[in-house]
Amino acid sequence: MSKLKCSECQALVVDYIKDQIDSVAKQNISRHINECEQCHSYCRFMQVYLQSIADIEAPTAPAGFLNKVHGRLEKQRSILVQYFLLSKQFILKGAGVLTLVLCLILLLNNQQRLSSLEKQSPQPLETITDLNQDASEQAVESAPNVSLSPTAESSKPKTVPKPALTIDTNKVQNELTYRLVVGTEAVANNALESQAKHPLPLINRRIKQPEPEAEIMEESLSGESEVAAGRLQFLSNSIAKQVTVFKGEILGQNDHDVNIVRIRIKIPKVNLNSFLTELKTLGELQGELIDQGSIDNASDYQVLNLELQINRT
Amino acid sequence: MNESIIKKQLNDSDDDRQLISRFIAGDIRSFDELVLKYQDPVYRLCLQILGNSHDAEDCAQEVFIKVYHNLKSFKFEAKFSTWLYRVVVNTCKNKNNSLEFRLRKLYYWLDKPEAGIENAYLPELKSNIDSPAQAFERQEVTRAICEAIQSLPLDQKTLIVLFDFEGKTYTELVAITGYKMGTVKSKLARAREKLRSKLEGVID
Repeated sequence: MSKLKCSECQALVVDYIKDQIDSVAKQNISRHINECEQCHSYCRFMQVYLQSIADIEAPTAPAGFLNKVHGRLEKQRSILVQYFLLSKQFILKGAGVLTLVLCLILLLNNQQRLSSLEKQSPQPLETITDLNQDASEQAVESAPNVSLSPTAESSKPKTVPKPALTIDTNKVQNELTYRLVVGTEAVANNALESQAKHPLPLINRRIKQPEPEAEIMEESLSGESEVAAGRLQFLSNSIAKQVTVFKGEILGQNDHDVNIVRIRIKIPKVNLNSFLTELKTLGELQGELIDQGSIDNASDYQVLNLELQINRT
Repeated sequence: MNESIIKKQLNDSDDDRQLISRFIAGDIRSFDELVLKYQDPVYRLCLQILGNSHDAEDCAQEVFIKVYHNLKSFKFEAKFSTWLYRVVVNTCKNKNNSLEFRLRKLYYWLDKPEAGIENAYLPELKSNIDSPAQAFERQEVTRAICEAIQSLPLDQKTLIVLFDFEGKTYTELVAITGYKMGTVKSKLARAREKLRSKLEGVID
């Protein structure tokens, strides 16, 4: 029979007290406890300790424990439902806002595209002639011998080629015609200013280019005539800018003649008065406006024929 | 171990299995039966580990909520009671480590340093025919033992409560706590040594 160590004995003391070991081990422990004072005291302590624990009334769960558990489960469930509903609502709201934003973006995109198309590619002549087919046909038939030379067209490669403009103000109906007669003094002064601002006006370039009518032009483009031509060109450019500002469109321009520039434009009726006022107050324009037509009531646009010419009297 | 105890445990295990199977099948009332069956041991264990009736009740409720949510994943690899005790131990550990729990203990101690633990568990003795003097003495000893147990580190306290109060075996302690057998035994021995030194003079 082997002798127990104190540590082994103390490890088995609880089982010894609870009577959960076999008889041989029990005898060994009993013998050791009787011989060892330390283990005897430990055994005594454990007996009191375990007896005291055994005397404790086992606490029970508080009343209504099950209901409280159910209450908490219900609360958790409602929180989850609320969270789910909130998140669902949030998702729906977000989707709505996103859709709205997308619609707006698409709308703006379309508008921008349309406006850029309108700006970049002017309406073909056929469309305009559809509007005033009879009038245009008559105008073409009775057109004076004015046409754009091919070299003049080729000198402006980036601009859309403008058709030769033929206007008979007496026959064309539903169109307004304005004759802008510019005094020579004003022409001289303003042209000098404009030449200073624009050192290389278009007219100069045209002079340098060899053209079929170059001989005629060279004869007329001397001294005052040259200044006047530059002035006319400058004015037509200013008018073109204003047309763009007022959302109009240049249907055609005839700058073939150095003394007269004819511009045919289409302008929204809502902007017509403002455009005319702007023309009158245009710093460089010091001529008179002669109304020789009538307003077209059938269309939202009004076709204007502007004639810029120098008063040489 | 007695045959009757083993039989009872087997019967309990079968009952639990049936209840869990019914719950998984969708019978919510079987969960109520499980709660009613285990609410006392779970609450008792929480109370003895945390030493506070308020926290013990809260923790016990939390345990059953966890059981409710996780019972469907129970694989019957261990006894339900072992799994349940493991959930209790882990929940108590989380509660004990929570900042709220520790701060509340600290504030209460700073406010009333002499009052001990807030809502502290005061053990009641089983009704015996002791004389009033003997009853008082026993009451004092029991209270001292409980206070000494409460002063132990959580892991040692858990083992002491499970082994001495709940009567779990070493094997069950291994399954519940996840410690190795040697660790369980050494921790228990150290806990008893500490208790003995703390109760010196109270228990001769």
